[in-house]
Amino acid sequence: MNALSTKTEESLRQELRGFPASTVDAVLSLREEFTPDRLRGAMLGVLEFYLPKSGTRSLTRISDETRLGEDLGVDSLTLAEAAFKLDELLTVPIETHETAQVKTVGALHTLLCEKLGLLPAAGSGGEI
Amino acid sequence: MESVLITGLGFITSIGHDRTTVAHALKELRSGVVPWDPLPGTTLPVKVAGTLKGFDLSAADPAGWVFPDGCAIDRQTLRSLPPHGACAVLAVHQALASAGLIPDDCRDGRTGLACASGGSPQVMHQRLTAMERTGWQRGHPLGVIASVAGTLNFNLAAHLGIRGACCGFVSACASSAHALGYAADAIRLGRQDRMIVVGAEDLNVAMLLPFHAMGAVSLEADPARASCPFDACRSGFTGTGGAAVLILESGRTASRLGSPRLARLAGWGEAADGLSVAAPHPQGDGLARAMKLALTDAGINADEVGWVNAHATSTPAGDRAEALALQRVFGHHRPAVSSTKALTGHGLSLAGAMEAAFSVLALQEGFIPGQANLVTVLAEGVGLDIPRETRDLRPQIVASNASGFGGANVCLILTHD
Repeated sequence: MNALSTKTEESLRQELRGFPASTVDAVLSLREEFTPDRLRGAMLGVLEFYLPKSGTRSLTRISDETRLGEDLGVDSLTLAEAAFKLDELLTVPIETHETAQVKTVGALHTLLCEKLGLLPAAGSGGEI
Repeated sequence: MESVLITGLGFITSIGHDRTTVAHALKELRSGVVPWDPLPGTTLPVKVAGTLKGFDLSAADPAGWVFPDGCAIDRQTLRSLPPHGACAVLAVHQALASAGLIPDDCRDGRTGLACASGGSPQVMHQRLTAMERTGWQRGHPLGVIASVAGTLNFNLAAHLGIRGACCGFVSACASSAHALGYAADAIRLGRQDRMIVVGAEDLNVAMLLPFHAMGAVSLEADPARASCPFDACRSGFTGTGGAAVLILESGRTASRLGSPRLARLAGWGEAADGLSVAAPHPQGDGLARAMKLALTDAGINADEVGWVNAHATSTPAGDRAEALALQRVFGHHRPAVSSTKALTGHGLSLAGAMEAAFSVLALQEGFIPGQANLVTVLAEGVGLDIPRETRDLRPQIVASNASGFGGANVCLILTHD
């Protein structure tokens, strides 16, 4: 059992209507294997969708240290929006005061891993 | 006092998403009302509506909305919009382009925004339901912005970078007519050089079906019989949604910029019935006074009016009251009277702006839309000149009426420049 096992592929596709195919694939891959790396891929896909167009830095490569605000231009409302989507997708409660503490990509990944009972892989990079 | 010109129009309506298509539909009495089945598998009491062709705005997340070719909105703008807000964004850009403006022109501090919608009951319902599921612990962070009355002002002011006036109007089906009136006053008083006026409304179960609970909606399944203003057999209104936008500019601004001078908003009047929360005054007292005040404001005699673009929604009480008000104001002079809601359906807060924009098309292109779906004129309307066919006749002056809950009544007077 994992966080997505109670949802059908069709229902997940419905929840992700309008999202890029790569994000949908990343989320669906979690149904097969619920690992920190795959969670990270899905998280980055969702986050990418909510990023403002005019980010302050190239979005082609990010790391755990990438700062959501200064580097990616994510304001608190945008982060809350992305977190709410992850909350609904993963059926994991993410409280507003928790996202308020999140400042980096790695911190968001860690928060999700902790809530889902996964141990995050340390220092992983990733692409958006 | 500054004159007020209409220099741009935008339409996302059941009868078309551009000026040319809309004008043809009005002239040819081509209806946008079609069978409506937004919840397949259920049996809704309401069978027809004035739908937006090519749009699917039913998904809870705007990311899932479908737009027709040529209508695209970026995600950053979409994220806090209700369905009708998306229509409004598209119509605003259309109107700005038709006025020869670009969005950056709206940032000059002399451009204001006046919007009207009832908010989005659908988005509010979706967001509150989702929040309730969490025990009221968590909710969509943009749920308020996308749903409450005022959502249009919030979204469009930010989207356009409005630095002048920014206000919303809520008087139900008179809302966007009120917005036009107050926007015109802002220009006449020299407070603004330009006003963008927006009327918009959702069309979905959450917006329309509550009116069924009031007994206000027609249950006819035949689109040709559902919305039949001024007909003896009318049984209620037919819903529609979308957006209409008018760009108002002062005469001096229009001259300086060489803006298209589509029509003049020569005056307006408002008067309330002071009687009921929902029903109109039985003799149309408030509406009659609103029309007289509008004519006085415009400096025009009743016998100069060529067409009354009536509010008539096809409800038994409303059409009767308006017919009596028209008899009282115009007496022996008989301007042509028709209601375009037979073609579009009734757009609630959208109606006033949409119909004012239709009136501009009639002035510009030289026609008076016939009264579609009229078989037998209601008793109180006998003696009014209600043409069944469109007349190839250029009206010189149009009075466009709007009435809303609480007995609010507005009349706008539009003329050639």
